[in-house]
Amino acid sequence: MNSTTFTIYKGERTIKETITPGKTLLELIQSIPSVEIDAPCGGKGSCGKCRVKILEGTVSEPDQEELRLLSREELKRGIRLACKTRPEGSVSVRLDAGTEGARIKESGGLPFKGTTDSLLKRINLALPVANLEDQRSFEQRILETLSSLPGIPEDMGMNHKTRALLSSLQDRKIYNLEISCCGSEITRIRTAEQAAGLSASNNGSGGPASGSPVCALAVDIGTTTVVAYLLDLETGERIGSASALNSQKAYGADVISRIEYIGENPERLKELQTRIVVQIEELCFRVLNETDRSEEDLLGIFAAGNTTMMHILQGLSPRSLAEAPFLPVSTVTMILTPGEINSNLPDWMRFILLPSLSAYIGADIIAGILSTEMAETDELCLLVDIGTNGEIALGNREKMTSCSTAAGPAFEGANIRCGSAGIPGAVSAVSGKGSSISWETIGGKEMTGICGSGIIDLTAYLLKSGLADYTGRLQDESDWGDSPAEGAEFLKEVDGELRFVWTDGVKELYFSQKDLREVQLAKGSIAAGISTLIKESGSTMDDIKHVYLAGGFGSYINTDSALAVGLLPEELRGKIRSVGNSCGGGVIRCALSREEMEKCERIKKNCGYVELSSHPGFQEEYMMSMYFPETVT
Amino acid sequence: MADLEQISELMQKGKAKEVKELCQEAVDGGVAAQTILDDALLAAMNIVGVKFKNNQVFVPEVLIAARAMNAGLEVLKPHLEAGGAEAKGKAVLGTVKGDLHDIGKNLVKIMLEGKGLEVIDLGTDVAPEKYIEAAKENGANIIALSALLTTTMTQMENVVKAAEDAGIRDDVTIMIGGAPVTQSFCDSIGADIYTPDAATAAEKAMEVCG
Repeated sequence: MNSTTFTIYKGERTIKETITPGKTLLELIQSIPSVEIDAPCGGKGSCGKCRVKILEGTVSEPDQEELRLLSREELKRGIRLACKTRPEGSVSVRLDAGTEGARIKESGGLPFKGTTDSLLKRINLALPVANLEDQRSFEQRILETLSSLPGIPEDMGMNHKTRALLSSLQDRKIYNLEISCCGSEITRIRTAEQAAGLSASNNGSGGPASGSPVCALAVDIGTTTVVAYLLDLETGERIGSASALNSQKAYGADVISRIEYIGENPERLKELQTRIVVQIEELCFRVLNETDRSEEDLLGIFAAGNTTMMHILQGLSPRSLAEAPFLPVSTVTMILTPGEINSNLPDWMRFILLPSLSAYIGADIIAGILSTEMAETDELCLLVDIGTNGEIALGNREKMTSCSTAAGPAFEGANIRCGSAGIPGAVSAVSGKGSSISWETIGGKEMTGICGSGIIDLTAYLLKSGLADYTGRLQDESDWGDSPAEGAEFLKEVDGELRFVWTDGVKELYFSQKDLREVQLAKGSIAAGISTLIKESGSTMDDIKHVYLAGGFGSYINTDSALAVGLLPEELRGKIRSVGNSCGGGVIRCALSREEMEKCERIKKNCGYVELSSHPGFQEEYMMSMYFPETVT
Repeated sequence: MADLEQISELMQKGKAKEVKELCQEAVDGGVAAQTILDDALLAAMNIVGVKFKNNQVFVPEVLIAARAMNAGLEVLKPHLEAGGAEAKGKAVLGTVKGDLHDIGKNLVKIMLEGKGLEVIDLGTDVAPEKYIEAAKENGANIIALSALLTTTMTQMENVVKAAEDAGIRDDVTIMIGGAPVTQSFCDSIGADIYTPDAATAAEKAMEVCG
C-alpha cells in the first residue's frame, strides 16, 4: 500500500486521515470538521498563527513567508505554518490543545420588561366532533378552531410536510391535539396522547417532567464567538447558555477571508454553512442536556449575526458583500425550516433569522439597537459595537443613522504578534504605571497571549508611562537622553524593532512598535467613525446622553483605557455604559416577544446608513484619529 | 539666505505655512527652485519615508509632511517649469476594482512624488482597462496597484492580463501592495514587484525608472 496518511495529535485526541496530494496542511485540516485550527488570515501566510509542529515525515521546504514569520529556532523544533506546508509522504503533526471554553458572553442590553408572547407557541386544541353535518377536512377543522382562539392569527396555515402528518389522524377518532406554531404557521401536530406519551417515556428515563414548558434557543453568531441561550417561553427566563469559538475560524478570523474562501464555489459555501449549522446544533444539544430539557419542547431557534454570518447560515452567497458597491443578496427576516439550511434538526423547529440593514450593518446591530431601547427614547444614544468591524449607530425615537468601519482584527488579537482571542490564559487587563505593572489573565490561567481588552489597557499604560508618545512611537534614548522613563527597562530592541517585553516567569510576551501601529489603525477607524457619524447627523458630542459599548470586545474593555487611547472621545466620559452582548440580548427579546420582532422591522426601516469609504471627510478624520490624545493621565 | 536644512526640518514636522514662506524666501534669494526641491523638500520626504518604513513615524506624520511639501511645491512650481525640469519617471496608481481603500494608495503616491516621480492617481475602485488606458496615454513606466481586501486583490491579476492583452506588458513594470498582498501572491499572478510598504515601493520604483 502506498497511500499516505496524515496523523493529527491534538490534546488527548489522535485523528488519522488519508492525504489528498497537493493540499496544504491547513486545507487538509479544514476538510476534517471535528478538528479546529486558528487561521486568522485565512491561509494567506501573512499572520503566522496557524502553527503546527511536524512530528514525523517529510514536508515542503519553508517558503519566504514562513522564514519571515518563524524564527530559526522554531523551524528547528519543527514548527511550521499549516497554510504554507505541504506533506511529501505520510506525516504526523501536533496542534495546540485547542481553544474550547471561550468566555461565555452574558446576554446584554437593558433587561427586558415586556410580557412574554413568543412567535413560537404550543397549544392544546380540542376539535369539534365531526359528523355528517360537519364534514370539514382535518386541515380546515384545525385551522378554523385555532383561529377562534384569542391571540391566534386568522391566516394560520401549514406547509406540506406538516400537512402530511394529518393522515395519521384518519385512523382514530382523535379530537385532542397538541399544535405547535411559529407565527401563523403550524409546524407540528401531535395527538395529545403522542405528546403525553413522549413525555411519559422521557419520565421513565429520568427526562423532563410531563408537560414541561416549551422553549426556544436564541443564538448570537459572532464572527469570533457563537453563543446560545436557552429560554423558557412561558416564564421568559433564561435557563441555560453555551458558547464556543466560531468553527469557521479555520477559514480566517474576519468575514472577508471567509468570503474569499467561498469565492464563487457553491461547495465551499455549503462547507462553511455546515460548519455553523453543526455548531448551532451542538450548542443546542449541549444546553438541552445541561438543563435537562428535551428537544421535543424546543420549538425553534432565533439567530442574529453580521450580514456575512447570516448569508452563510442562509446558504446565500456573500460574495458581493466584499466588493464595492457592497450588495447583500437579501436582508429580510427569514423563517426557515431546518431542511432549508441543511440542518438535521427536527422538522418542527424553525430558524427565525433577524433582518439586516446593509452589507455591514447586520442583524446583530439591529438586535443591539433593540436591546438598548435606543429607538424608543427621546434621548440621543450612541451604540458602538467593537469587533473586527466597528459598527456605530446614533439616534433616538425620531431618527437613527449608522455606519461601519473596518477596524481590522487588532482588537481580536489577530494581527498583533502575541495577540490572541479572549480565551483562557489571554491577558485581559493591564494596570499600573512605569516600573510597576500588573496584569490579569482570563480564568487566572498561565498567560498565553494578549486579547483586545488587554491590548487597549497596555496601550494606555505605555502612553501614561511615557513609554510611547502621542504619535504612537515607542520612546528611546533619543527622546529621554540620560534619564529614561520609568518602565524603560521593559523596552528591548529585537531584530531592529523596539518591543515592550514582559514575563510571568514562565512565558514571555511582547508588544512591538508594529503592534502599536496596528492599534492606531484600529482605534483610529472607530474614533473617526464616531465623529463622522455625529457630524453627519448634525448633532454634537454634548447632545449624546448615553453611550452603549457592545460586542465581545466592547463588553470587556476598560472605559478609562478606551478614553485614554482615544478610542472613544473624551467628551463622552461619564456617559459610557458597557452593555455586554447586546446582540444576544436583542435575539432573546425577539424570541420572547412578537412585538420585539416587529420593532426590528421598524428599526430596519427607519435606520439610515452612512457609507464611510466614499465619505469625503472620513479619510482625513481617520488619519488624524490615528494619533493618541496628547495628554494621558 | 534661507536655510535648506531648516526647510527640510520644518517639512518633516509638517509645518506647511513656514515651509511655504521659507521656500518663497529661498526663491527670492536666488536659490534655484530645483535645488530647493531636491535638497530640501525631496530630501525631507526621503527621511520621512525611511522613518515610516522603520515604524518611527506613522500615517498622520507622513500626511502632514506631504501637505507641507505641497505648500512648498506651490511656490516652486512656476520656477521649475521655467527651468524645464522633467519627472524622473511616470507611474499610474490606483486601488483596484471593488476596493475603496485609499489611505495606503495615497501614502504610495506621497512617497513616489517624494522621489520626484510623476504620479497619475486614478483613485479607488479602478477597473483594469482604466489602468491600461492611463498608462498608454501617459507613457507610464509603472502601473502600481493597491488592494486591501483578500476578495479584491484577485483583481490585480486582471490588470496584469489586461496589460498583456493590450500589448504593453513589456513596457510597464507592475507593482503591487496592500495588507493582504504577499510576495508569493505577486509571483503567482505574474506581477513584477511586491513591496510591503510605501517607502520601499518608492525605492523600488526609482530602481525601475533609474
